[in-house]
Amino acid sequence: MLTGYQPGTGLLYRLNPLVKGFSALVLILFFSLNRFGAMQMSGALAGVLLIALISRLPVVDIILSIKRIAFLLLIVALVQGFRGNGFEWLFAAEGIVRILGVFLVAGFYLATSPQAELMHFWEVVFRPLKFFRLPARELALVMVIAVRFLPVMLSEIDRIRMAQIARGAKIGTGGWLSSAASLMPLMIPTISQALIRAEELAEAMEARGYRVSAERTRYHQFGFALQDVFAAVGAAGVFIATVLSFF
Amino acid sequence: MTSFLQFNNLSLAFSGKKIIAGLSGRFISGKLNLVVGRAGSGKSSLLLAIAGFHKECQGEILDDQGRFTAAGNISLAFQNPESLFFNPTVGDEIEFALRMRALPENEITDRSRDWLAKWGLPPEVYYSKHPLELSGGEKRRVALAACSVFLPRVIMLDEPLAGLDFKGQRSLADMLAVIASDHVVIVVTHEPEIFLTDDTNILLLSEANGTWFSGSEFLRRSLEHEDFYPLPAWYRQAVGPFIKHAALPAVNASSVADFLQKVR
Repeated sequence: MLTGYQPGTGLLYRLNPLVKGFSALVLILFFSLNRFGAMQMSGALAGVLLIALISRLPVVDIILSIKRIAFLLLIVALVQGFRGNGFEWLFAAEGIVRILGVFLVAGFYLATSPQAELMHFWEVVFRPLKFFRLPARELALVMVIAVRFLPVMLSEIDRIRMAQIARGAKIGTGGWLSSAASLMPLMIPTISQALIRAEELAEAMEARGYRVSAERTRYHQFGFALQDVFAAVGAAGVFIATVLSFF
Repeated sequence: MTSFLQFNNLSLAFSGKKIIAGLSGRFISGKLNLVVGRAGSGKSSLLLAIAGFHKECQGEILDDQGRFTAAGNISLAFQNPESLFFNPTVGDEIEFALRMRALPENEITDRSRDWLAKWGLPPEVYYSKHPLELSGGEKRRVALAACSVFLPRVIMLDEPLAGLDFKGQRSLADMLAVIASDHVVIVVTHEPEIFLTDDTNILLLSEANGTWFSGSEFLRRSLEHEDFYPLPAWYRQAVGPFIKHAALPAVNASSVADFLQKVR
């Protein structure tokens, strides 16, 4: 899955981080909750892909990376397919399009948002928590680090898998069941490595002067432009459509 | 047992750029196989391709039984030993490969401790240590021990000399020579002289092409053209006058002394 920032200058990169973040949230809500059918959702998915193409994102690579969640898609298709009387392909397709929509929107959002933009967005989202005396900035930071650590974790899993095969382990050479079972020996080393990395990160942040709840100024200033108005109107439209689909 | 690893028209690319084009030839057991070449010539990628990790790969890799299957039949010691570690102790690292083969528990521990000692690391000192707490040379030894303990059909080592002192390098070369007698052992290195004997099998990678040499051919070419491979000056001076001799000596003082006694 696309979880790392891919530098670029296309349309999505130029959007204000708040507009981009809320638009992504609205689209994820749309793909998760709407009551439209598979055909309408496929149209919306094509629209998302078109925007990604215009923004010069590596759409082909992203589509190829879908095979990483092929197992999840298969299970969703089976569960959704049997929702009615017997197996119905339309229901199965609907389930797949929903998952793909969430997967691609989240991927495009993370690929076009550098760390500073993610921080800015999540700080605004968590700002109301200040009324309950909760550390909104720190929660935002935790959120951003968790998201940014996903590719690190994935590459860590790949590294451990390679290290095990390099020592004669037969991982992923059998069918689905043995492939799933072979993931078990990866779990403990991956979790322990993640904890080690988290500790290293905390030490690195403290070494650079990071203090919890300290007052901070903002280096990056984000403005609004015409494309942000269009994006906000589009996101509002999608939100209204999602709500209307229930009636 | 595998007696050879054969490449038929093997081509490798990295992000679409060809790094090895149409390589044919074979690595064999009974001799040490070296892969040499400048940085970026595709040496490590070739090992990754044999291990099945390099995806931009075309052509065939065969062994005695037909198409070569890497899973369970290879070990690969990466250039960076730390990237091989994922267990909390040195003992667990060494035992991993034996455990995957479901050997009896007491045999796993005994074999692992003996094997670690063979690599110059006393188990009573190192067995319970965390691999990342060790020095560079010790990490290298643990990685090499962990990769070779189960003696798979094909053993590959990427730059194994880095971080080892001279004694460690010498004992590595000696151990590999023994293992190579009935396994296919492939070593990627920038310092081939410590492994070189007149019958070493060498693959030189340069500008996407591979050229195969015997040890003697490689030494002769290096003596003829200084920029082909920079042999030590003392070796050039001592052996240079006998360049036409069929079998040239290894690059160490005792081999050269024996050789000079014979030819003079």
